[in-house]
Amino acid sequence: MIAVLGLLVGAAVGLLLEPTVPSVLQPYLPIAVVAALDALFGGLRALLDGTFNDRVFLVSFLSNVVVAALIVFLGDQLGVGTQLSTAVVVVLGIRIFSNAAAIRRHLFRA
Amino acid sequence: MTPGEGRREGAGHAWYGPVRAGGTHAAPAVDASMSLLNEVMYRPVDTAYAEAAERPRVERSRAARVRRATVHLVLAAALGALTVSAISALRTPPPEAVSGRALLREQIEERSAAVSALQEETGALSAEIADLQEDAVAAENPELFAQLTRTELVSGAVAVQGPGLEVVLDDTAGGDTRTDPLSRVQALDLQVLVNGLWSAGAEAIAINGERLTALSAIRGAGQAVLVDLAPVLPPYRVEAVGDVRALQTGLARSGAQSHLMSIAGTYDIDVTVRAVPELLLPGAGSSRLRFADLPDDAPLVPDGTSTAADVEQSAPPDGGTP
Repeated sequence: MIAVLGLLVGAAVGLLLEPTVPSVLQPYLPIAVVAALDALFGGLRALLDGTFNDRVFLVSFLSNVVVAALIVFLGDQLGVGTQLSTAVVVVLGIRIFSNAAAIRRHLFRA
Repeated sequence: MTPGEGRREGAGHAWYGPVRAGGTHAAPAVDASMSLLNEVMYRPVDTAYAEAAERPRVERSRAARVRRATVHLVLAAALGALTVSAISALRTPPPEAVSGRALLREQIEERSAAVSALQEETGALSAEIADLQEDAVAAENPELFAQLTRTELVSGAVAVQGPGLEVVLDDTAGGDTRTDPLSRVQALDLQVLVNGLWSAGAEAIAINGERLTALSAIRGAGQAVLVDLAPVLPPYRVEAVGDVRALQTGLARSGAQSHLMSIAGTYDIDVTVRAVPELLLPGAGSSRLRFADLPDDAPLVPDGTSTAADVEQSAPPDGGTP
């Protein structure tokens, strides 16, 4: 639960301070945000499953964001940046959808 | 391997199936080649959660728990701040684009202001020149002055006032929703109309306040219509000073009238022609001196060798001495 609390605090701080992201990192932001969403939904599902774990949540969040950005960076270097971005978005999108479906089943029993 | 064997074998492998106990959404194991899709579809949650739950709990000291919680808190706060700042950075347009636009706009406004200031100055200087000319010429040579005034009037150098016709071509009726550039008023339409008005006996013509002279050009550049290189915007107001009745009949007989009728019918362009008792057309500004001649009895330059022919020859080829 401490992780969720920290996430909220960090979000509030980010909203208040509005730090500027260096332009070098700009191309990786969209994928990183999608990856963060995936980690959030996974964490929420685990929470409803009763298996939530701060450490796992944080590690999956961090690794999701880093790996997603790394894949886009690698794709850019190899000249297949857009295709790799699409692949990442498709996979993460499917995961988000099925996690959201599981969450829905938990909440509404439907 | 027969399909039946494959199915049995697949059902035996637990790594395919749902991760949750008593799985409400069991994956039908069809084929080994589907394992990737099954993996993605039915095990979206990180298996790490399940593994961590299965791991036996480690008893830690109080200090270790606090340290762990602190690390978690700091890391989570950093991730939250990162995510939110990433989202806000994505929502706001990149600063370079904004500042570039602002810079361009600033430059455009600056130059426009400079142009209008220069135009004002030109107007004031022209008026001063006209006054000085009047003073100098009118007293000495009234005949020449009368000729000058008449020439200025006809050439469009000075503003004129009088009755005339006003023709308005409007392609913005019914909202500015036209996408087909052909359905807009073209430079050609204005050319035909202006030529019709000239041939009907117009003495002076202006389009949206741009006075036409013998050297004026009406041109199309992309979708814009340029009159003497200045863009004019719809509705196009063509004003012609002259004998109203002669203008009306002349225009009706000319080919311009049928052209206007056809564009009004085909492209739904509003064409209104009306007589105006009093029109005021601006002058086209100062005219360039293109040809100069010494009068026969004019005193020559001090050394007395220069002649009128020399003066003409020494003028630059374009005669562009203002």
